[in-house]
Amino acid sequence: MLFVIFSAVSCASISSFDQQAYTQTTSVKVDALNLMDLAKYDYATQENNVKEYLTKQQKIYEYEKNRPKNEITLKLWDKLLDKDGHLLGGFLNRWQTETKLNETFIAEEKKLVDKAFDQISGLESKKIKPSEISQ
Amino acid sequence: MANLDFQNLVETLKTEVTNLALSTVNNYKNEATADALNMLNMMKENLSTWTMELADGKMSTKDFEFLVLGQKELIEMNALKQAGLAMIQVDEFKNSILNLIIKTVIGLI
Repeated sequence: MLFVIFSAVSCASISSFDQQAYTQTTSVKVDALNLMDLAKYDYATQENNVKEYLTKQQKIYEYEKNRPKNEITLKLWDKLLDKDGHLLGGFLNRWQTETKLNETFIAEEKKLVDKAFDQISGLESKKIKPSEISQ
Repeated sequence: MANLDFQNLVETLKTEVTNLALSTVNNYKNEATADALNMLNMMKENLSTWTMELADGKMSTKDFEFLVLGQKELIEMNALKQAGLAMIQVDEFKNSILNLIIKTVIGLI
């Protein structure tokens, strides 16, 4: 009877805390917010900075994609990076299309993107540490 | 092997699990409410600021619309985060039940 109970309750619903994912997310957040400041300049002059940032972003996204039971975190990343959306992905897309963006708009959009990254790192930080999971 | 009083074990676990469930639900409810209220306050402040900046000509209508849609997407992200937090609570609850069973059984042997 106890074996049945143990089997039923020992299967996790969501991935456990991952220090690397948390560190990479907070690191990419700083890079993303710094990059957004550059949107007051012509996109063409900042293309190398954008490419460098996108490579970092791609690395963390691939890492998250391959973690088991990580669907919610991946959906959060998808929302943040959606090129047709209105957070980071949409902002970078708009910058490329319109060449440069208004500084007031940049400052306000940064507040949203800042909070959007916090949703991802906030969820990660609340996940159960592997050492706390009953074997 | 020592004789286990299963009736006593089940009764003890029933009480402990009920207490655990109640405290888990309460903790989650309080955290989720605080988080949602923070998000609502942020939206209120943002809309007020953006409206003034639009009226002062500091940003275009397109910028304003982009920000409002961004705010909506941020709220959607917050809802997703809440769903994730609820799953974490379920896992923590299951984890606590396991520890409780082990502790209770060992205590009865």
